[in-house]
Amino acid sequence: MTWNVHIKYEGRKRLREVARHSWALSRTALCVFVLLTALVGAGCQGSGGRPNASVRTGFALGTLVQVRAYAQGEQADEAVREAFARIEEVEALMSANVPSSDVAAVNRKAGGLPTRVAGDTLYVVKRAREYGDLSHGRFDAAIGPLVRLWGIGTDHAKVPSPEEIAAARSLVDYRDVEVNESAGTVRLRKAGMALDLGAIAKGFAADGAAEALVKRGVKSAFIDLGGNILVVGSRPDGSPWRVGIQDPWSERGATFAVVPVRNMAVVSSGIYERFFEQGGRRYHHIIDPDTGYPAETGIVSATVLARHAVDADALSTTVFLLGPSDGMKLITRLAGVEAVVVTDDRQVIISPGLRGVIEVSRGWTVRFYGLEDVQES
Amino acid sequence: MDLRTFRKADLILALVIIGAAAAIVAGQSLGRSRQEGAVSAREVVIEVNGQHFRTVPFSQVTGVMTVDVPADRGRTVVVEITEDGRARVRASDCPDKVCVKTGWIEHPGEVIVCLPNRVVVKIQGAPGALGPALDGIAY
Repeated sequence: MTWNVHIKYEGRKRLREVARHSWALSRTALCVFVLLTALVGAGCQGSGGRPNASVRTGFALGTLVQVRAYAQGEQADEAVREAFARIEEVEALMSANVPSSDVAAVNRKAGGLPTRVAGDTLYVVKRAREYGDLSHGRFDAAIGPLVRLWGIGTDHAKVPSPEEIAAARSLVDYRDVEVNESAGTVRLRKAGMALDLGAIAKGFAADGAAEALVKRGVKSAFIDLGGNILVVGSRPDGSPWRVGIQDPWSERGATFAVVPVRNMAVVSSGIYERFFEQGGRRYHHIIDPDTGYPAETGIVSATVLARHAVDADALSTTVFLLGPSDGMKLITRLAGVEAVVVTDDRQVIISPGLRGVIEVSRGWTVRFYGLEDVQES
Repeated sequence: MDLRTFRKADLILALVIIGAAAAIVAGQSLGRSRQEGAVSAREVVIEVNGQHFRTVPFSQVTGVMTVDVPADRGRTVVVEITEDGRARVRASDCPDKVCVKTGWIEHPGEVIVCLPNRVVVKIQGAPGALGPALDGIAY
């Protein structure tokens, strides 16, 4: 019996101790919980909930480049660095002004042997040829001799003589750009010919920059290559990015419309971008390969929206050169591509896919292509 | 007896932990408010050739400040910064004068570019209510 009592007593004592112990444990657990809650709460307010932004500006491809990217942790800075590296890589390959570039090498050997080029260059030349076909030669990657002759955007811009223009024009034909995919070479058939990828390389570079960002975990970014816009995802808060479209008759930065977009390129071509004045006339930089003079198609600005900037870039020039009617006809034939054209009589023509999406400022006459009604906005 | 010491130890532990948590939270919010204070003061940032040239907080400007920015080939871009928080390129040795024609900028994110001289003038600061509703412009 005593044994039993002893056991009972010991048992009760142990029970009490266990109970006391678990009390202490649960109180410690409570404290740890409070600490963790405070830490997590503070963390959320600090950096855990909102992604870090990284912004960088620089010059590349003859223009101002700005990349703004959002990612968790330190990834954003590294991603933006890599995006810039990619843009500089494209410039090193495709700028006609860089003597070591693929384009310069191809131009030096015009009329001679094929030149081996990087896969990126081959791809862009191929895409440029496609746009040549699509526009019946209005978009011409062999426009080099005319671009050089006019020198628009350089210190020596001038109106060339009709003889000079005729001579340069005879060297401009994208069908004389030979692409050999299996050999990885490009060749210009005639001596004096010159490739100029200025109407497509920026778009390609923007796509490359976006790829570099996405690979680094960026889900939200705004890439601006001298007004060629490519957005990745949406704004960090989930709302669409808001891209303005330059008013062709106002100072830089004034817009006449806004497009809210996600994962989209928005690229404009306009007479106001690069130009010079001589004898009271304005000469802009978009040269018509058929006339050899700055294009006069009734368009003052053509903006194209497409998933990839390489397409939006090439198509904005193409639409500009085709004019309002043929340009819009081409756009409506292409899937996933939209356009906004401003004509010299101040009409805004918009592809029907942007109806209900685009916001146009007051005072503009707006027409949706293919639809009858004209609206005053 | 030993019950009481346990409670005391627990109480001390709890106080230490709560104190530490409070210190962390206070530290973080202090750091944050200091950061916010730093960016809400707008400033003008001037870059040449992608390199930082000068940062001028508007708070340091009295009247109109003129900054001569040396660009490539001995060229100069003249930037004006005003006390009331605006900046512009007043003059530039460049053929197209796009930078001069841009006029005044004042909102964070707004930029003036002189492409021939590779000079960028931009306003930096918290994009508050005054900030543009646009993320960028296609041109």
